[in-house]
Amino acid sequence: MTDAAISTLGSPAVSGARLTLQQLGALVGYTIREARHKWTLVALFVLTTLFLVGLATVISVDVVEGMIASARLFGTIPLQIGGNQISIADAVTVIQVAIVSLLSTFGLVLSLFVTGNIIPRTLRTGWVDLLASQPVARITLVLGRALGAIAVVTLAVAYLFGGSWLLLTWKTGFGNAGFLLAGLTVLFTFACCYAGMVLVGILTGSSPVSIIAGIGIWFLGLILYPLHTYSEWTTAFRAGWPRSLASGIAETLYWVLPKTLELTERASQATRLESISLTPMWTSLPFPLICLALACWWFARQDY
Amino acid sequence: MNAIETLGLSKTYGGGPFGSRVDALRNVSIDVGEGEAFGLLGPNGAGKTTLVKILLGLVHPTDGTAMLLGEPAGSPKSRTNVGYMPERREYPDFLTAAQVLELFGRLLGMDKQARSRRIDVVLEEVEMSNWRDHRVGGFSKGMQQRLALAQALLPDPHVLFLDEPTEGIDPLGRVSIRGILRRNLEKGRTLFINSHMLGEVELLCDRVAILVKGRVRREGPLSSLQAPNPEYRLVLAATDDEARAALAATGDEHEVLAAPPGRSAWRLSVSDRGELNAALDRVRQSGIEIEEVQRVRASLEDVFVQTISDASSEDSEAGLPGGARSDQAGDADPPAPADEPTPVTVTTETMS
Repeated sequence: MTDAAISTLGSPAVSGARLTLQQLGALVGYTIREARHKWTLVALFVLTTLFLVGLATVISVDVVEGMIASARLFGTIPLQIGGNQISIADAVTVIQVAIVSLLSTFGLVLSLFVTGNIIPRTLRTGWVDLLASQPVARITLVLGRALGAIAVVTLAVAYLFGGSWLLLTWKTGFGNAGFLLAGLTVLFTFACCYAGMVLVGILTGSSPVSIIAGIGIWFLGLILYPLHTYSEWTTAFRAGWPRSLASGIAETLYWVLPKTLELTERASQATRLESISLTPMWTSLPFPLICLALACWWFARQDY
Repeated sequence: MNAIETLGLSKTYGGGPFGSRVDALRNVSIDVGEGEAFGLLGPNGAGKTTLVKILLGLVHPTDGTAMLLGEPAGSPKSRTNVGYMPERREYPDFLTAAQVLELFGRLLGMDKQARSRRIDVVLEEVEMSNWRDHRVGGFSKGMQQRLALAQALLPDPHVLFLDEPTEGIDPLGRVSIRGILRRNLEKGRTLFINSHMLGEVELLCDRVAILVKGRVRREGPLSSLQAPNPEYRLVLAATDDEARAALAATGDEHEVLAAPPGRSAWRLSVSDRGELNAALDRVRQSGIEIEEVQRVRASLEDVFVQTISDASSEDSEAGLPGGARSDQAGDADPPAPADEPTPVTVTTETMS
């Protein structure tokens, strides 16, 4: 090759950590664009907008000296609140706890459902080859797509929590910062379950299996907490090794899987501005980290 | 430094408790120099795509080493100055041509200005500028092929891997793509073409390797593969007997061919041009006039078919199983099955 020819050939403008960040940014941006074009993001935003419009129009409150004098549905139907006046802070908190509960269940399952195909879609023959043949580490590919999915849900959660918070603050004059903290907790719960979906998606390449896994992880977290707290259930098993085995399995799963019920409770507590224990967060954190590490390791050693 | 080097490269798929073991590549060693156009040929399941995928880090070798531009193949760094146009590709249908290239430009680490400039250049190069803002979902196969070429050219690569670059393209499109590839070759880029379209390979490549059942059966410059011992077709103004007597005196291997009345045609095998001239001198000294001299070359297809046939015979003699796995990416069909009798095509070029 001549020197003149070599001088015309290019090389990347950035390298090292900056290159990795640019690649992650490209993959996150692509995932958001994909979600927009596949109607995922649009569906989440339409549902959220409908909810916010409902919140804005359905409930109207009259505030007198810091207390709610009256509350009406659709501006006409009077709401009795136990015959007593209720403080604005209490009323807002009740509404926000209801939103958090809705989001931690219905919203979280919906988010897992709509993001379940992001990783399997990356593994399509003809697309994975193109991506993996670029100067991109495979770990970057997995993390970029996973972060992209989390970014999509973050946008939706930010819109819903931010929108609800602004709306309620505007209507009542009471801004509850704990509600915004609850949004982060819901997002953390989603990220924990989604990491499990990433691992299953990389292992199977199947969207339905990934979705089932993600929702399964969330659901198991709900039922394992009561089993962990109330050990009486083990009496249903014969004393001896069957009881020990059942108890051992439940306890192992409880400590391994994300504690989704406790995380939901913490979100509600944060909304009520109660002091919260961070133990469920710390003990849930190893699960997504291990799942992502395993997913990256497996993806890196596969032939495509 | 060679652009591509492999040494004893082997790849075995399966072999676990639940799968059958398939040797996709067996001890493959090839070198491709910088600025060279190298063609990798082989029937379905020969291991061509596996070899390319190992070089690009998509498949991990079982044994052996592979280097790409001096870096171990498979490392992200080795792919920095490499373009890849796979045979099968699935661009997201919701992206426009420019958005596809934008995504790959960002993955390549190009800054915004460089991306914008290169996207314009490569779209112009593949004659797709008018389609830059159209969605890929509406593209014909030929347009997708051009977009894939544009994407492969985006990094301004030192090495271009092309898997069936003209597959499914009409003749005019093929000429156009061939022109683009020639221009890239002139710029000093190394082309590694994996194709079953032997005519295309013949027109573009300097050197080829023929892979059969994971082994390199033949490798070398196209000219030496097509005519290992130069052969010439002589048309002489003489009877066959007169010509035979004159050619016998040369000591070179010769064979009579069909000729028009009053002429005698012969195939003459010589080791080099000097020997040819010596033979022609002897013929003239015999008082026979030479009417025509043509270099006779076997077509690449003949070489290809002969190689596969030889490989099958060798395997039969060695008692090796005849079948090989289907290649992962589904290599396209060879021109004729190895065990079918094939017509011999003779390509000739008149000697100046």
